[in-house]
This record gives sequence, structure tokens and C-alpha cells, in this order.
Amino acid sequence: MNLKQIEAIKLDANEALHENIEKLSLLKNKSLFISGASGFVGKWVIELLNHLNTNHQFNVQIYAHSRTINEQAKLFPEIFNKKHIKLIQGDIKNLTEIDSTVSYVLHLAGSPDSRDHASDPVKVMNDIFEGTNKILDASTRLDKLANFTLFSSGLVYGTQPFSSENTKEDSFTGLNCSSLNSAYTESKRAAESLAQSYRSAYKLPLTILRPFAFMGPYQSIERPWAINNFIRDCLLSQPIRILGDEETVRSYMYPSEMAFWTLLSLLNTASGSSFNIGSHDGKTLRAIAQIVEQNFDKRNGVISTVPLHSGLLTKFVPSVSRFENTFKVKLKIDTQSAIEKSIKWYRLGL
Amino acid sequence: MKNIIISDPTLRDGNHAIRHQLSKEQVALYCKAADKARIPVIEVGHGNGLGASSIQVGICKETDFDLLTTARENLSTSKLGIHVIPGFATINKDIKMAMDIGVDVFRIACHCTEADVTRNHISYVREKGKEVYGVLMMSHMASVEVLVEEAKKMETYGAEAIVIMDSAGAYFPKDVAERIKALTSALKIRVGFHGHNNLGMAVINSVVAVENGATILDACARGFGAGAGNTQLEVLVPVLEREGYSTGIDLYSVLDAADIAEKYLMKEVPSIQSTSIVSGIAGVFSGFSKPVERLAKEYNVDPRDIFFKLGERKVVAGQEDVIVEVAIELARLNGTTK
Repeated sequence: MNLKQIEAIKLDANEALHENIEKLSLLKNKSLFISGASGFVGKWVIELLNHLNTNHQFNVQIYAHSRTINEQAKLFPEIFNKKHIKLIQGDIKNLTEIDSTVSYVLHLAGSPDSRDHASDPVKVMNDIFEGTNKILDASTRLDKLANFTLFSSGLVYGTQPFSSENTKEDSFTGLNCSSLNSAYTESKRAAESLAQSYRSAYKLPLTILRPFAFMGPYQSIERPWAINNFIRDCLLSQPIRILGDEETVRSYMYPSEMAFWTLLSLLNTASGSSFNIGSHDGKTLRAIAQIVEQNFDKRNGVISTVPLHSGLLTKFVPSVSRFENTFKVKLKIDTQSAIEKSIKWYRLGL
Repeated sequence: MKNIIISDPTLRDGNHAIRHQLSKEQVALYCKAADKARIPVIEVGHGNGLGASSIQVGICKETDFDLLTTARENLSTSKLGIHVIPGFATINKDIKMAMDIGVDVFRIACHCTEADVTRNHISYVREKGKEVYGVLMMSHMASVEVLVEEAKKMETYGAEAIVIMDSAGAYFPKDVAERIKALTSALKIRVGFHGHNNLGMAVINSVVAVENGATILDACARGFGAGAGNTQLEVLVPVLEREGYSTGIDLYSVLDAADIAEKYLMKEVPSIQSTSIVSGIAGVFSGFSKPVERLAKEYNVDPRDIFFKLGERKVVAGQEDVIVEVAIELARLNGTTK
């Protein structure tokens, strides 16, 4: 990552926060424990906290936990090498204790990479369920705990009917627990139930976030996901290849806004509430491919490799009304803007 | 009209039939003819794919580098494809070289129950923006459910299409219909079929595959390939056109390409020999026919017995050393030990 890209991220953080500083004021002078801190979401959350500390004297102490935090700190010193960040390297399944000063716990650990889910489903399930159990157990011993936020998944709802409205927090459909893809989803569901059980049994102050799709800086362009591949195809001056049905609908939230919403969720006062986090602005893969293509001077066309309406149409778009109403915010960056901002950032790296 | 992509492994699977002895000159000659016929993808290399040349599965006459650069120089409209079995081929040594040469389509293959081993190779190729397929070999050895699950793994890793191989030529049309239907229902990506002709079913099996949703078919000139040969390209193309599918291939030019292949590439045109029939019935990899025949002579045993024994032991490609073991065992039982 070069200096221009680092500066662009700092500008994004400033834009996400500058009108919202007061909304986060309860975090001032508090300690925050973040599991999975070296991942995409963790980096962005810490980026925003760094901004609050540097520019608005929030004085937040961060305990950043992950299996690879030391390596990541070497790769991203601009994020992790700060006086207010304590790095803790370890497997979440071995966590026994969280610093007693901690008031907020943000549980992000667990790989969202579907390749891991397919290759090593047993490990995926153990990491998510046992890891969640360990961090919940450790959190019950925190005297100052004000909130535990579990980063779950928008997949917990099951496959949504294509014609339906955007997915609301109570839109559960049946899941096939025998399918290969169920390992990740079912363990996320189980983790939610476990967290709710801790809330009930130990009065743990709990928020559940169900993330959908994000796009932007810090995300590897090489992951085999549609939007990443569209951008990569254009960066390589190749035609965009749409795999699967081009009428498939997706939406993308820009990560600076995602991180701001995640921090807000820590301040939730209705323990046990669950919220979708993502963009409600759905677009077809064809439209997304066209947005990407239009942002490059050299256009090599869009190729669709599966016939239209192949019978596998899917939609993965949340309703975020509950979040917006609860926290009095509105999504500012729509899907098109998120894609365009992402492309600009990736181009800075060329 | 539904468009079918024909992928032609004459210069790869055909190498099995002549112990991997295709020369650069032969590759150049056939590539020119196939390119003129507008065959979408031409697969080139050792029979077992990139990096496979070895004592175990046969030493190739030419290096991978020479075969691929020769093909690249002689293809303008057709894409250049390769078969890659992780273990034979590595990313650093082989795939990077193939990318530098200009290979367009990477077909990452494994035994039908072992998709896990393809993750790194598929992911790498996809990350580099090249076209990548997942290929499940010996697919008759897995249940439909397992096949679908393994295919979904490959899709998850980044494969843009899944091709199932009837490596032993063991399928009947109903087997193909059941599998292709299940795969096209479960996957978001394209599905393909690679037939062998041990039981005389290769062309009809390929037609059944497209009737059930496959959009990629493999076929070789004169069926030049392992065992009884593959689906015969110059037969398949007009059959598909007559059934209402478009291949984009010029008929006269593909007939000419097949004539060239017969004259300049083959010692003999593949036919359904007794051992091929037994290989198909026993469900044993067609590429074993040459080593089985050689070892049957060496140990004075019936090659058909070897095939049935190999079928009982569920031997797969890459386990060629088991053929020797079986031949010795049979010789001992027959009292013909050397």
C-alpha cells in the first residue's frame, strides 16, 4: 500500500466521522477489545478509532487480538503501531482473559473466505463456535462491560426468495444443514444463539450485527468474488467475465461507513437486538459490471458465461431500516459510489 | 441456438495413445488446422498434463515449454488450454511458466473425490485473471451427491466451469444425464463433459450432456486419446449442429483437421479393442491400456484379468505402479512368475 492509498483511507475516515463525532462520544476514555482485529473489518474499525484519538482526543485504548496480529502490524504499521493499541497474538479458541479495563468487546474473529469454508469446514465450525464461547465466557468476567457486539453474517437468514423485499432482521427461511455451505452459516447461527444464551443467563449486554457485502480499501482484489474480479479484469485490460446469472442482485457498503456503523452498534442500549449492516441499494451483476467498466477509459466489454435466467437467481441485499432508525443515521454512500470510490483507490496502487 | 464450447484435447489426451511422443512439428501442424477450423480451445501437453513427464507415467518427447510455445505460435483464434493435476504441476515451476507463454484456459484436475487439492491452483489462476476450470476425473467413481459437493468446492475456490471426465469410458447415457442435471442445478457456473469411447457411448453421452445443460464438451480428432479414444470431434460437431446446437466450428475445416491428425499424429486410429471394453466395464482409467498391455506380455498374464483386478482395487491415474503389483500377483496365481 502506498502513501496515496494511505492518505485516501484517512480522508475516507474523516468523511465518515466528521459530522458524527458526538454520536460516538460515549467511547471516550474507554477500552475496547477487538477479536479478529487484523481482518478487513478490524482494520477499518481501528482506522476510525485512530482518527478519533488523533483528531478528537477520544483517548480510546484498543486491545487488538488475532492469530496474525504481529505480522499484520509489520505490514500495516500506519494502523497498528500506535501507543494506544496493544497487540495480542493468539487463537481465539485459547482466549481465557480480557483486560479488566475493557468496556466494549467487538467479536470479529472467523474467516469469511468461502474457500476456507469449503476446504476445512470442521475448523471453520470450531473456530466460530468455540471461539465465540471463549470470548463470551471471558467477557462475563468484565466488571465494566457496557456492550458485547457479535459480528455474525447476513447468511444466517438462508437463501432469500428472489422476488422478495430486501432482507429484514426477521426474514428467516429454511436452511439445508446438509449442504457444504452450511458449515459457516450454521456455526454463525449457533454463535448467535450462544451469545443470546449468555445474554439471558449472565445479563451480558449484547448487540448482534449481520453483515452483508462490503467493497473498498483493504479488501484483496484477488478474492474470487464478483465485484473484485470485475475490477481486476478491468485493471488487467481484459473483458469483464460475469459468472453465474447476470440478473443476480448484490449491494455493497463502503468500508468507512461500515466501520462507523459498527462503532455505533457498540452503543446499542437494547441488549439482544440484532441489526443488518450493509447497503440496501441492490443492483444486478450486469449493472455492477457496467458501472465498473464505465470507470475505465479502455473498455473491453462484458461477457456473460451462463444463459440468462438459469434458475439460480439470488439476491443478497439487506434492509437497514432498523439500524438507521435506531441509531438515527442514513446510508450515505450508495452501491455505485462505493464501487467508484473503490476503483479510484485500487488505481492509486498501480 | 444454444452455443456449445468445444475443447479439443487431441494434443493432450492423444499423447496417452502414443506414450507421450508428440513432437513440436506435429503440434504445430495440428494447431494450424484446428485454428483454421475455429475450434474454441486446443489443449496441449503430456497426457497427464503439465509437469507430468516422468518415469512413473511416461517421459514426454518434448518439454512442456516447447509444446506450449509451439502451440501458442500456431494459434490465433483458438484459445490455448492446458490440463493441470496438482502434484504433477506446481504453481511456481509450471503454472507461472504457462502464463508467461500465453496459455488462456487452465483446467485444474483431480480425482473426483479430492477437490480440496485443487484449491491453491484454482485460486492462483483465478487471481491472475486467467480462465480456470475445475476438472473431476474418473467421475464414475463418486456418487452423484459427492460429485456435486466436490464440484461446489471447486466453484468456491474460483473455478469458472466444472468438467466431469468419464476417464474410464464407463458411463451410459442415463448416468451422464443424472450427473449433468444434478451439477447444472447445483452450480452457478458452466458444466462440461469429457467422454471416452470404451463402450461406444462417447458421442451419445456428449449429446445427452448438452441436453441436460452442459455447455462445454471435450472431443478429439478421430477420437485420438487414451484407451478406446475420446469423443470423436468431427462426428460430434455435425451431430450437435443437426440437433440444433451451435459450435462455431467450420465443418470442412474440422474434417480436414481430423484427416491431418490421422495422417500425421497417429500410429493407429483408436478403436474399441477388447482391453478397452474390459477397461470400461471394470471402470479403470483408459490411459492404463498401454502399460497394462506391456506388463501383461512381460508377466505372461491376460491383460483383461489385470483390468478387472485394477477395477476391484479402485485404482486411479497416477497409481501406475499398482499395475505391476497386480500383474505380479496374477502371474503368481497362474504359476507364470518370471
